[in-house]
Amino acid sequence: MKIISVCACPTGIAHTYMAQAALEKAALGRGHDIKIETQGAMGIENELSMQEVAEANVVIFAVGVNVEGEERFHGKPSIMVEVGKAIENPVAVIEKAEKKGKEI
Amino acid sequence: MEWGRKMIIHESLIELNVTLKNKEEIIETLARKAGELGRVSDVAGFLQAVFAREELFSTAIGYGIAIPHGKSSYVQEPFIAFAKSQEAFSWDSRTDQEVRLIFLIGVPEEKANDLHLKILANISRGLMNDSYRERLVQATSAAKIVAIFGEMGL
Repeated sequence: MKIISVCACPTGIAHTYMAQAALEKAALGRGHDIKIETQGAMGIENELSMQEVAEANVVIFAVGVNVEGEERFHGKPSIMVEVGKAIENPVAVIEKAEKKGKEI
Repeated sequence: MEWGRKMIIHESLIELNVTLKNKEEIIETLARKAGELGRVSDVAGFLQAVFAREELFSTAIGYGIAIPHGKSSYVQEPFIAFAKSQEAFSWDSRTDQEVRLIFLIGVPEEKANDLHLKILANISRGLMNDSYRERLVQATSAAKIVAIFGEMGL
């Protein structure tokens, strides 16, 4: 499955990047392709392109704040989780995303 | 890179074998160290920012780790102070998470140097790596801890 994700947290210095690492590891471990955009103190990094958004089966928003450029994902199957949940139990988040991605 | 890493973590910002079992005291201990090293100009002011953040929701993230942090104009240079507790303890009464490794992070209010932020981001990612965490738990000297942070921050 192709998974894309946006990670963001209020201060943008730690949780964002922990969630990124945790989700990446869990997704790869379950055989998925994943690309994660981080919206932190350094701004937007690893930005998702229009094509990547179009090709993705599912979007994971692991955020504690508003997503910048949320309109890019309009109409995509998506799940929304607390950024802390993505850090603590990334496998459960990926499993949830798998279910969502299979719905279509 | 070398100078940037040194500025983020410093041997005098590391407290091993902590016997305190509540987050307020541990955070205060680490913040005072940051004050002594000149990373924080007003320890009380900085603490206010950290506790305000902690109020929002617990910074225990699982894995035996808590990352209290504050963004404050009293922070002169971004830093990480590290404490390792002898025993795991409950970080926050609102959750049941047991914590042993505590990372107090301070960043200035105004836009911090990107290099510093990058190092903090790398260290955050590194903490999701089992082997780095295991090595931090095992490390018995501040010098060793600094070296592990150096590897993570690259």
